[in-house]
Amino acid sequence: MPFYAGQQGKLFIDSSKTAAAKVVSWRFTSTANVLDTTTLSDTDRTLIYGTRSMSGSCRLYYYNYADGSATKNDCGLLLSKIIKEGSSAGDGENAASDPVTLRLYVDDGSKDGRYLDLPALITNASMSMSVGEVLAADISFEVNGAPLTSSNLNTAKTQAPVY
Amino acid sequence: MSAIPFPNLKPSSRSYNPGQYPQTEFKAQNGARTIVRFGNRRVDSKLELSFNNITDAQAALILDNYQQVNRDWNNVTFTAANGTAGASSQLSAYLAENGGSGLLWRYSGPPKVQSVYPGISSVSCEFVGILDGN
Repeated sequence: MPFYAGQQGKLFIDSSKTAAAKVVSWRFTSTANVLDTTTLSDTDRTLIYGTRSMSGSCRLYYYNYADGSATKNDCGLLLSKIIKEGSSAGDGENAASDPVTLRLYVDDGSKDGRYLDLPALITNASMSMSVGEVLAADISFEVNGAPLTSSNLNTAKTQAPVY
Repeated sequence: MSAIPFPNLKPSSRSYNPGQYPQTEFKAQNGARTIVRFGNRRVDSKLELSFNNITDAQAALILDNYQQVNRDWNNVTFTAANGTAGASSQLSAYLAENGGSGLLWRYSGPPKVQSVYPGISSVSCEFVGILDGN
């Protein structure tokens, strides 16, 4: 399968073996800064690499589903990373936000698929409720450090065959 | 006083001030000026060089040069491979102070090293052209 579309995409949260429910989209951006090394006798600008950074976003429907005897909501799980409750009005000292590991996954037909494992800090979560629309959350995140070494989306190596 | 060549690193930016002639100015109450000139050579020229995003090893070469120049009473020299890079030959004679000015470059203060990225630093140096009285 040379091309991939939305139906091959999945999102996994915090090493879960089950894909997150009702994921509408995920995206990431990787940026590398450059440092200018141009000197006075140069006629053309010269550069070296500086630090890299990654960020991304995903959109999930706010959806309750049964998992055995429990009811789960993966959108709510991500919201809980950044939204923490206080004990009373004006309570400014509350729990810190939690980091999360996101696996941005593409089912390429191989045994393991292709994915990027990103240790992330959720920086923005927004929801809106309006007539005629399904409630969903837009989640933005910044990657803390580099993608984990388990990632294989950023490699040209072929994957193990599907058994 | 020995001439110590500056490391072969070309600067990212440079500024030069040719210095002034040693003199004292007296201004009378009627506005008339009297100038007493103490020498016919300009003194205290200034040269500022900055080296952006160089390796730490290159930054260490500049610090080594600073120690070599200041450990004894020595002066630093510049060529087109370092401090006068990119300048015409006419301007280079001023930048290197080898056009007959008699001035010798010395560090006016320690180089400033700023770490930018692992293994990468930016360094700025300031020099003063002195008329050696020895």
